[in-house]
Amino acid sequence: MSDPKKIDEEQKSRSVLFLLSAIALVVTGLWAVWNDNISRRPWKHYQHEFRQVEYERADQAFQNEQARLAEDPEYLKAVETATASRKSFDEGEGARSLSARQTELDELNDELATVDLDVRFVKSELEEAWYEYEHAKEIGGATEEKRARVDSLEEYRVKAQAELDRVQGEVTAVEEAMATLRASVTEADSAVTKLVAEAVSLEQQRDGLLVHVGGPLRVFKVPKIEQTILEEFDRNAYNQPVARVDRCMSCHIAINRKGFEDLPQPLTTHPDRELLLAKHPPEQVGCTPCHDGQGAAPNSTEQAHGHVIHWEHPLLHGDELQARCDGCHQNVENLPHAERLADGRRLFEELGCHGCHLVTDYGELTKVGPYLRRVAAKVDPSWLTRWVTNPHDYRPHTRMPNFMFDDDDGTAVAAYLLSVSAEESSAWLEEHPAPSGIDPANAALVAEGEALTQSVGCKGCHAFVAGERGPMLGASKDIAPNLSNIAEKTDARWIFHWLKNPRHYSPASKMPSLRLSDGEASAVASYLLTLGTKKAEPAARLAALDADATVAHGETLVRKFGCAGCHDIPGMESESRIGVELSTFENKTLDQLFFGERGDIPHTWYDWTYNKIKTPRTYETERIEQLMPNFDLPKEDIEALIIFLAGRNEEYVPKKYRYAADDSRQAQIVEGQRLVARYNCTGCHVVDEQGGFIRALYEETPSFAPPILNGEGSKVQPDWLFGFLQDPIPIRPWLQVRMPTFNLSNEETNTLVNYFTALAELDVPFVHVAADAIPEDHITAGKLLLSKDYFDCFSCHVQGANKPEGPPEGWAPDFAMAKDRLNPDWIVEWLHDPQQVQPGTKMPSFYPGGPDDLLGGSDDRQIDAIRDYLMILGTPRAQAATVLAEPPPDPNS
Amino acid sequence: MAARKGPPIDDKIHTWPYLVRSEFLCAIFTTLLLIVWSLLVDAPLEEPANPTRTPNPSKAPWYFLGLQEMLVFFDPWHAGVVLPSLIILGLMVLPFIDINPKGNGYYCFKDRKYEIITFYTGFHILWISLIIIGTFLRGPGWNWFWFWEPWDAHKVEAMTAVDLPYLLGVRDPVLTFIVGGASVIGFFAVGTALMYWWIIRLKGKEFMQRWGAVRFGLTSFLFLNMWAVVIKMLMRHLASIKYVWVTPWLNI
Repeated sequence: MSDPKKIDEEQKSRSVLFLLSAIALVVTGLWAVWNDNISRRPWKHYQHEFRQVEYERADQAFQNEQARLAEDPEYLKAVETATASRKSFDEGEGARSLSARQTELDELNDELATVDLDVRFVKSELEEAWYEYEHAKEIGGATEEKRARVDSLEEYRVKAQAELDRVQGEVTAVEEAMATLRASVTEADSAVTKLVAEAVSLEQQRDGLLVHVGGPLRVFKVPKIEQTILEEFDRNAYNQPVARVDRCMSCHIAINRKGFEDLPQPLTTHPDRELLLAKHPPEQVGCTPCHDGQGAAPNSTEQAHGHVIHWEHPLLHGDELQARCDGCHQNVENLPHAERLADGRRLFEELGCHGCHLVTDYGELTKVGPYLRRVAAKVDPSWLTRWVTNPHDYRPHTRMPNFMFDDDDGTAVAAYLLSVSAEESSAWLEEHPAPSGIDPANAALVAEGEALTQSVGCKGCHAFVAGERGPMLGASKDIAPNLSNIAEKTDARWIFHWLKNPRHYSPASKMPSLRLSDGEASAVASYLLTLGTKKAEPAARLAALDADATVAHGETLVRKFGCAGCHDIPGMESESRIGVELSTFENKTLDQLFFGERGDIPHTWYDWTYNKIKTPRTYETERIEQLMPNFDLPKEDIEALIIFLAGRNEEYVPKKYRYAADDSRQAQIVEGQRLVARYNCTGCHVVDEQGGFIRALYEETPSFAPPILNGEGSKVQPDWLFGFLQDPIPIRPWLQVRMPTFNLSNEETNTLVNYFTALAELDVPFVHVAADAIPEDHITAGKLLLSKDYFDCFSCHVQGANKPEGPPEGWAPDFAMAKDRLNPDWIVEWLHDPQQVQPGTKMPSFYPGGPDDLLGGSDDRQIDAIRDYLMILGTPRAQAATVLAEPPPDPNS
Repeated sequence: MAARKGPPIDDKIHTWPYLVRSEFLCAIFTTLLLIVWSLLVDAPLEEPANPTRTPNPSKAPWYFLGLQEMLVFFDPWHAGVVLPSLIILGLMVLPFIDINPKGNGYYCFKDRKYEIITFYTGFHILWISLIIIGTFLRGPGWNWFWFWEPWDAHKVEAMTAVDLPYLLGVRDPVLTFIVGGASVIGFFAVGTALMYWWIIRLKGKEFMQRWGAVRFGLTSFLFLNMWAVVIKMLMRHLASIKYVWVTPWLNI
């Protein structure tokens, strides 16, 4: 049994294989080191690159400073002086004398060292002796000998200390003498030092960048991971807080350093660094809370930016970043760099998206559509069928989306709405009889009506000509209907009563009452009836409106398409939302998004969402029905909505990282903004630096425009504002445009008052003026200052029944209202500089530069006096105040 | 190969250095392979685990995917408990049912054809190939995807499998139970008989006597069970048969 193969094994040499494997091991070992330290650490390369640029710039700055010095006559002269002074010193008697002193000093220093050592040793021995003495006392042993040692050492220490002081004194004396000898040289040198200080500092900065200074080799600091640890920022699967680690600055090394804006990524400075990084320092809050990406993985650009499979939050680009702002900021209106998010949020709220889609924090918003309980009393049935079928035909910019009904379905929905609202409609019609005096054929009346629409403030919301744009929601929608063809839709009776008080028809109407008289309302209604003409649908279609089958089909459609999400419809009070909840829409994965037959678009979250909003039924297939209507939104609105939706996710930023998380004012502002948008306050007023659409009509006469309400919260007293919003009274009689009566509820009014107070950042909005505590001299001085002899305030300002001379255009608000209306602190600010508080105001500025003869000529005291006087104006005390012909002698003068 | 000179030598050689050096070389090359592999391929991490969003498909660790694949064909009790227990018990009884003295201490296919073929069938077909199927061919919804097909989460596969008695036209529930039971018991009865006949023919009566009834019984039970799994899988894949025997306690 012999097998030659086995014998071969003994004769074979494996050395070649061992050699090869050994070489391969060494090579792979080196490869592993290279891989671990170089190829997987790209940030080292970037840091090195940056250090070089940084060094070159520091070096350049130093060179520039040196070049400047070489040209600087002052420096050259100082150097010359220093050289000359040194030369004359070296050649003169001083140098020899100094050298002698130096010898003396050296000897003294030797002595000093000896004596100093002696003192230190004796102190140490003394400590030991004290310990032994105290220890002996503690254990009850013999103490006399030990005490004697303490005393003798102490005695010696005193002597040695005196010796040390003596030598020290001599040293100081010699040093002072030497300094005096050298004084002229030192002075000249220090002049030079002062001039080169900048250069020296620049050189130090440059050299500080190197580990090794000197020689031709420049060794930079060893690159290291730059990381920010955000404690408890994230939550793990078990809802426990875990830290997030951002290492972005390992590559983006100069992101928070000024002066590297011109470098390419990743070495460049952050855009708008002064604002963005001052508020969000990356060393404290990291980068990924705003930018997303995989901050902990700087092994490659793809990994760090999260452009790898399974990383759920890849880097955001451009405007997409704004999706992260409202993770920390409740109020994004006027937040710099968050404009698109604010647009998206407003669109989501005002287009009524929440009527079908539930989103956390947006679940309790008011329905956006008109009230349909009495719609049969309002609209022409023919018009309603056309409107339901495609609203964009009648009004291209309406918020109402197109449900793409065919004619039969459109008729059915109209039939249902007319039938279901019939009862309440006829009751309303009974209470609101047809008015007389409306006549669209009466040209004078129509002209009067048209003039009224131009003057009383209708144009703050509405446009009256086809193609004309009123204030807009987003980039294309009208906030209020364009009325250019209103006569096609409704009739005189409804328009008249609607104008008189919209809330009689619709209890939650956004439309306010402008307190039109019957005559005015008739004129406006006559004008409106000239806009458009009725168009009757074919008789067959109108006949179908009454058929039970049509009505029943209509009810099915109204339920199926979720009309009650936006409209108040009888019998549909408890319908639930028909759309998908979007509270965590951003977390939807691709397999949760149905692309239907759309193989032509990229399969990404963004593209799915974009196409869904653009053409909502694009993913419909033969078998999968989709219901979302088409809003016909332009690209920029879709993008804004996507930014809003991209922030709807499961992420939850912990309180300590959020902006003003414990400040209830933020929530008040957000709630107020919703009401301001809902009632379109910004159609007329500038509020929080936004809006004032109607002001465009008053470019030449800005004093006729509705007031600007920036800072209103600090200007007026909250209780006055509450009353005013509930029941407005004219404050500026010269205005033709009217503050409407919105018939706000107490809750709504309170929300608005809180909103203005919160915007003004007032902690204590209410004020009490202790009228009795106002000093008499303030009252008299205030009365004088207001009088003809001084500022002549009553030439413009109304005071109760006393009107100024001249036409009302020149009038100013009633002083009698001041004590209830104005915040006294605001009056002070206002008098100091009216233009600062309200740019463009007619109010002249009297300060600085008040009269010298009152209250010691002090501006502040005079302003206080005016404020105090206004606060008691109209009371007996103010009237009783005697204004002396000669001002009373000022106690301070 | 050059002709060997000298007297014949014993066919055994020393472990040291001849075996050890070969093993050492193997170790070095394996190490090299692992280093290079780890340098080139990163660990396939997925998104952080989230209990509220389980991945589709949810897969066991790769070494258990054979078991998970079996869940397609049997109910969980059978695929997850009975069959794995049988595998372990079968491996444990191997030394006791094997009375073939050949092949101890050396490797030789000729002397252990049956044993080696059986082992490789069980290990490669029933274990490794199922792992490969489970890892690479099962996608979202545990649907079958060929290597070249993208995993479409919305893929729909028709579910038309029926039980064996239904296929045979039996509709009555009691009769269904009886036919199913008869099929399973019949398979084992006929299988054991065939195996008996086959061994007698191959090895003779004398071998069977030496082997004994218990050893034969165990062997044929395990052997038939192994093939039963293969047959059941083929029945599902080729004839859309869901279960053979449906009982209130166990579906086979």
